[in-house]
Amino acid sequence: MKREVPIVLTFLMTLLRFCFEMLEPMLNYQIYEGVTLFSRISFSVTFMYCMGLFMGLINLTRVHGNTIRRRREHWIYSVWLLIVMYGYAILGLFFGGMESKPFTWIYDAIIVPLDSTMFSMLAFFIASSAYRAFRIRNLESIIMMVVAFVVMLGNVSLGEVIWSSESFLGGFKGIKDWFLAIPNAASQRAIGIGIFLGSYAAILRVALGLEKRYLGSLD
Amino acid sequence: MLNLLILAAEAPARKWGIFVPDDSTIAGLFLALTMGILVYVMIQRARAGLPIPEIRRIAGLEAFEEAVGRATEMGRPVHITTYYQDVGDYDTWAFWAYLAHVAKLCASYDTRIINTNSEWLTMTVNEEIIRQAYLEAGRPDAFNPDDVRFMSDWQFGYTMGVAGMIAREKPAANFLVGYFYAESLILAEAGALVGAIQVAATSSTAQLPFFVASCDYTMIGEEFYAGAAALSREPVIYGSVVAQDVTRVALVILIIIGAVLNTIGSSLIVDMIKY
Repeated sequence: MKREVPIVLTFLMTLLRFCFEMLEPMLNYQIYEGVTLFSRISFSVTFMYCMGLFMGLINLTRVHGNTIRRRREHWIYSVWLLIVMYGYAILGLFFGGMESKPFTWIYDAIIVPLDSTMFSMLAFFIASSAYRAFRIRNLESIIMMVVAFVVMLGNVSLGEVIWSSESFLGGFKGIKDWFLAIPNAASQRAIGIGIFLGSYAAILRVALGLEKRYLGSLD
Repeated sequence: MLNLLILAAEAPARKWGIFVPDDSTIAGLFLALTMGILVYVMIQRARAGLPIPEIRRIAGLEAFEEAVGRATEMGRPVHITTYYQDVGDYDTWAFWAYLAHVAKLCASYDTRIINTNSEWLTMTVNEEIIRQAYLEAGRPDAFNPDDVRFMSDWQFGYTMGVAGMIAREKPAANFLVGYFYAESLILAEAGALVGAIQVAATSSTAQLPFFVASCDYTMIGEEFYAGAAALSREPVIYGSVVAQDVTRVALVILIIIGAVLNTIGSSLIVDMIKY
């Protein structure tokens, strides 16, 4: 029963969701005035999802609590993490909610700049990984390097100065636009079709009960 | 995805009353049923012992065992993670196949495995998979629940947590398997900085260039899903991969016919797909 019940539930929920996508009477079926079956099920899923948040809190507390208790390396950061996590949660819950000034100030002053900082690091990381990885070894890498060079010049004003977009072939910008619109789009769509088919096969495997790894089985 | 095949044509009139009046509802239903029937047929062939085509060798799949072996020799842990971990998402289901495989290898080699998570519900499933792996390897006491960690559901909170963990724990193998967004390059570079062997498998086309540049092996798009099936080594599951290949061939033929028809001025295929 431990295996069979989840598999049957998975199949039934997959079928239900499929029917919601396809059949209008099911999608708009009203349990009572103004409330559809679909909205009720969506609400219960959202509710379960929110309750699961506590499991994340418990896991963080347990992992970092153990780090503090055993005085592992950098345990001070675990103390700080727990103080910030519970402090921010208490601030939001008991001192005015998410719209309160202290709560939004912390978000705007700390979290938003941290986000921007991490994003800005991407530029440096791409430079370092490109420097490490891009080596001209064969014909494909030569083509890739030439195209990358043209696309880069097509995006910057230096490229416009060297070869204007009003001249022959639209300059670097025109060639860049063609690369992005034709070969790049074609290959992305081809990969996209493969991804769609692969994901659908994965869905079918789970819905039909062939895929049991989410139950803890290793086969 | 069917919208990729649609050119700018007007949608035809609606559709037998009971179907949701969005574009491509009937075409999507037809494709779904066709592929479902194909999967069923291939599974029955596999169960009957009839020959099923083998999945071609995927280099990235063999790298998993090589990377875990390297980590075992160096005495350093293995790290596996995915960012987008919604428990109802097919990328997560495919990730579980890789997690089960890596957990099995780590349990049999007695190597420490660290799994970081951005989703609390999926974390509980991951913990169960890894625990089961150690149990089946006869080493239940070697399983450390603190090595299955929830970082944050906030994108860069998760990224910073994982990057910091990689810098501290210095894993010898870093597996980035699943759907990623902008954090992909930061995670891959964090692994490269500690000298980890890195294997990426993703269906996120936007992140593929970053993984190709920074990882030792990258499994692209469909290979990610086919690899998840190949890891099970069950002919019944291979059948679903064969069905997907047959469907792909059929779609390519449809695309070619549609392109030719559209060139000569007929929108027959486009109208059929938009129905």
